[in-house]
Amino acid sequence: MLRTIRTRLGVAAVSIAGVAVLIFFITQLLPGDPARLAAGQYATEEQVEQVRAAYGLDQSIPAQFVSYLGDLVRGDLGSSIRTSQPVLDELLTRLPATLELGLLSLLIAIVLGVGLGVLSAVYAHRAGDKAIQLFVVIASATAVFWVALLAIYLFVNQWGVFNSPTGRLPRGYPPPEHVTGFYVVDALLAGDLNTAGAALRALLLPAILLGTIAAPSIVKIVRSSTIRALDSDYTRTSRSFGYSRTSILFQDGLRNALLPVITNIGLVAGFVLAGGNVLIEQLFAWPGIGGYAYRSLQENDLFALRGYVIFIGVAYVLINTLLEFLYRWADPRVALAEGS
Amino acid sequence: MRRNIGLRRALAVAALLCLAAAGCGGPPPQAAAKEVIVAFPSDVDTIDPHQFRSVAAYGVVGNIYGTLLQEDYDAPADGVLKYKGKSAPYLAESATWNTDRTVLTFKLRKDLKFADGSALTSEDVLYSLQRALSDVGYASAIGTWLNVKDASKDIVAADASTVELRVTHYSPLIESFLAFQIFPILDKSAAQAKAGGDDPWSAKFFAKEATASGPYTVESMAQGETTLTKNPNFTAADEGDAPDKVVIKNMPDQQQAFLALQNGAVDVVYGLTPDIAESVKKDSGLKLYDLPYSDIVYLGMNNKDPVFKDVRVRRAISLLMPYEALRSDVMKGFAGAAYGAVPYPMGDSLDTTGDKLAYPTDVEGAKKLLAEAGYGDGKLSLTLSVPATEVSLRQSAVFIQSALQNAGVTVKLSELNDAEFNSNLGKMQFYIDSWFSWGQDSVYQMFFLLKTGLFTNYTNFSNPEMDRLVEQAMATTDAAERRRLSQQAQQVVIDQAPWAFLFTRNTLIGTRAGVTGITQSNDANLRFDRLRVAG
Repeated sequence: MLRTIRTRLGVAAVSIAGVAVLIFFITQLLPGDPARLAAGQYATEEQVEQVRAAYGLDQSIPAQFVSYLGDLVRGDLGSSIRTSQPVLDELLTRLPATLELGLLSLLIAIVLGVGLGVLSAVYAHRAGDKAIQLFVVIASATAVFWVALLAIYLFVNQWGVFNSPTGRLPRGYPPPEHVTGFYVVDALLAGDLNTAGAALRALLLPAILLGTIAAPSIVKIVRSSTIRALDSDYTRTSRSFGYSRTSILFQDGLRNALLPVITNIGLVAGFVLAGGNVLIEQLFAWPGIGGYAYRSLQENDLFALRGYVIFIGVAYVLINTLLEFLYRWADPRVALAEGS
Repeated sequence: MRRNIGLRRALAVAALLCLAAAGCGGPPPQAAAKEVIVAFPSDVDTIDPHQFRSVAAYGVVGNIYGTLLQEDYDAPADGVLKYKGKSAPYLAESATWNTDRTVLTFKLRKDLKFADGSALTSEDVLYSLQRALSDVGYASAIGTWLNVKDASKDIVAADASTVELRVTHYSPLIESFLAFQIFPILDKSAAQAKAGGDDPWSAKFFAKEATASGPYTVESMAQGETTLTKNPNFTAADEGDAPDKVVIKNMPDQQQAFLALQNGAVDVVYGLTPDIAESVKKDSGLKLYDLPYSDIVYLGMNNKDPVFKDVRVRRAISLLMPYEALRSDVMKGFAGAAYGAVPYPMGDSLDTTGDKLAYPTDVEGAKKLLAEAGYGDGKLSLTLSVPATEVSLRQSAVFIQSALQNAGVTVKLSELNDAEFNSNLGKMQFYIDSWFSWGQDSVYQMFFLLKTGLFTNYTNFSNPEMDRLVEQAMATTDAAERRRLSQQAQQVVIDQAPWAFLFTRNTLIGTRAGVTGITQSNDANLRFDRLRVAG
């Protein structure tokens, strides 16, 4: 186990270093002069040069790269050109909002994906399976923003099921005292069911949308892996022992299909935390890191962009590292194979 | 033999509990008495009053800091407070010129305090004005219009409540500019406590902290919203009827902001697009404030480009513009005509009605000019750069592309993000952009946008006669002479057509019915303490 952890940490460190190097050079190619943007339209060339020097942008690329690596080792992601604030602080302030939305979306994606995938496997090649396939195609092909706008129009304005998307809490609810940064959790810890319910209601619609858009890939992989598992010798053995259909489906079918499903869930987790949430955060005025990244890209906020990408890189690495341990739980043969 | 499915049952119960929790909750715990929620399309990036910042940040800074003078408004009419055209005392109880109008003396009100209770004195005023005129931010470019030669010597604290501003010569802009939020009064001792060797003006401190001297103070800035509460130590005006709390929300999507307005989740939405403004206008539960401003949208033609060096080409382009279609179809009627670079309602504009066009739409006339210049049918190809995030400019560009095609001019549209667009101003061949001058002064407008060699003269226009007229207008102290010189310069600009003067954009603000007190100010910012919410 210790050897596994050491190996994983080593791989994680190399991956993050690779991302850091890559993003430095890619951001050098972005159009626009960050110093001019920071100084503003009214700034003289002298003032722009001062800003350039203040952010180290007047140095050569190799010198900037060395300085950048040195800062990274110290955990310093630099200061945002747009806000003058440390990028790490800004990302950490916004992270709980993204995590709260992302984790609930992921949960919904998993429940929906596994549930529909299993049903699709059970009713393989019949009407139920075809209906689920249709859902998968539609959900994969439909643009997130279009679905979101339609959902907001129907569920918020027409039917009043959810609150207006104005952020993490509706009007009149102050944020709970900060413990985790997750408003639902913090409100529950404070014993404030009212605010917890309001926070959850504000969270549900964007999470359902993001989870539904993310679910199709899970449905497909669960379906194909479960069908394969249900056709196997050990499943036939379980049937001959007289186990119930439900028991066979979950213990022999789904349980043995978990490895590729876990891999896919890792990819989905990356999507809901890093990619899919940008649009959703914009539409729902959700104050997460997705909106921060979008703004940074628009204004060529070099250090904020780099910080965001490294942040996401670290998140992906952590997710993949966690997956490695989940594999061991799902299939003990993985641990045995590593041991030998 | 039964196999354990307890985990599945536990998950099902957890899901049901979540749904139950989501259904829980009654009305919000706080009574929303005298609270106003204002949605902006941008976030609050920095609250340093001397840094270039977002629209929402301008909204915050303009309401947390007091200035020596403030804009004087007419009594409310149909919910709007219109700028009277002059300044009134604010933190200063008086502003008096000496005989030859080279010294402006400010007498501060008694017992002024910052939000933390510390006294506001002339030393704070001195520090604040010197900071504004320093190189800490862009405000120094505008500060030169105060006609102060040396801020370290020409701004003097005569005593604890008196400040003298010594100017080279009088300008009508001095008093109006001192009402701008770029000349706020900051707490000198708080600032100096945070200053450092590489940050003598405490830029890092002021980016996120405020030493409020205005009607509001920042209660919190996080999670996409900034909350302002009344400054209990503000005594320069009676704020009894002002909202107790103002929440500034970042809502980047206009459609969502409109839906939130309909649902009562927000009270004011600032900066609507024309499409959304039309929807607000049709909704009987909402009110649209359509405020004419001199925010001019223009086609910039780089006068250094071989094509646009020829004034005939520039005039031809101006004659091809679909002015009516742009105002009615793109801007849905929420726009005015632009007569030259100084459009109505700017002071001293040649156009006193907002209806005049510098050039008519005349396709045959344009073709003739192009042929004379050697660009007959199909011989002219241009690349029009467009800022991708500006909806009305993008839509206008499509109309313009089509209109130019009528005369055989091929236009390729190049959409650029903000960063790339702003970095290339001054270098692009042909671009569409907008400009709004705080103060809406004609001479200021022409100085920054069209004077030879200015870094904001993005079309590289150069006309010695116009330069001379503008310089003379800046130097004169006689208002009638200033107007005459300005209008002569305006005519030169119209004749030379460095731009195609497309239209002026109105500022569009949507509110719930019953919200009044919208300020039509010289900087297009809302004064939150003037907002009133009925019911």
